[in-house]
Amino acid sequence: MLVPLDTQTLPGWPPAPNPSALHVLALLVGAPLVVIALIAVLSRVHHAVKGNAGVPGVANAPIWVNGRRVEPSTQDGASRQAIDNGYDAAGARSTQTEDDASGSEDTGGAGARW
Amino acid sequence: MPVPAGDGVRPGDSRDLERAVRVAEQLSGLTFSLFVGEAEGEPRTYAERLHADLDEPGESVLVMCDPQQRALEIVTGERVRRVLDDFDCRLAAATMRTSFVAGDVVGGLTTGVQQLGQAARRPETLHTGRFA
Repeated sequence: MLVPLDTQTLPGWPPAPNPSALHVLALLVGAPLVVIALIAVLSRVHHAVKGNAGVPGVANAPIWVNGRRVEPSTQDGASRQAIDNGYDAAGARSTQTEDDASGSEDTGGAGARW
Repeated sequence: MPVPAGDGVRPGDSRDLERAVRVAEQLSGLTFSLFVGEAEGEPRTYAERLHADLDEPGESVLVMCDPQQRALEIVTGERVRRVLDDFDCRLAAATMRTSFVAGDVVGGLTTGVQQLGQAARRPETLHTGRFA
C-alpha cells in the first residue's frame, strides 16, 4: 500500500531528529570536500614518490650513442675560446686537405625544427 | 612552449636508441652516432662540431636532437654523402619531426635512424657482394 510521505515519519517509527543547518551543510558540502581533498593529496603523494622512481639525477644529461663524451657548460670562457680556436684550426686543416685531395664537398645532411 | 631537456627521453630509453643505431649500422655499413641533449649555441654548428670530433667523420652520420631547442640536425661525412644524400636526410628528418611534434622523441629518433640506415643500404651485387 502506498502511503504519501509527510514531513513526519511513518506511524510507529520514532520521531526523526531535526538536523540543524550546520549539520546539513557539513553533510552535503563538507563531506564531499573532504573526500576530494583526500584524493588530491593521495594523487600528489603518488606522483611525488612514483614520479622520481628509477629516474636518477641524470635525466637532463645528454645521451650519446657511438660518440664522444661531452661536458656541457663546464668550461670557462677561456677554455671555450681555446676549444673553438682548435676546432677552427682543425676545420681549416681538414678543408685544406680536402681541397688538396679532390677539391670536393663539405659535410651534408639536413635539419628540422618542431 | 619550451620543453624540458629530459622531456620524452629517459635514461632507460638509451637502450632503444642503441639498438636502432646498431640496426642502421648493420644495414648500411656506415658509422652512426646519436646525440640527444642540449646544443650549445646554434644547433647546426654544434652538430657539425660534434661530427668533426668523431673518430672517422668522413664515414660517419651524426644525428643530433635537442628537445629543449626543438632542433634536429643530421650531419653526414664526405664519403657518406655518396650513399646517403641530402634528400634522404631530409626525408628522415621529416619522419622524425612528425613523431617529435606528437611528443614521441625516442620513437622518432628510432624510426629516423633506421630509415637513414635503410636509405644508405647498398644492394649487394655479384661483383661486390659478400658472395662474389
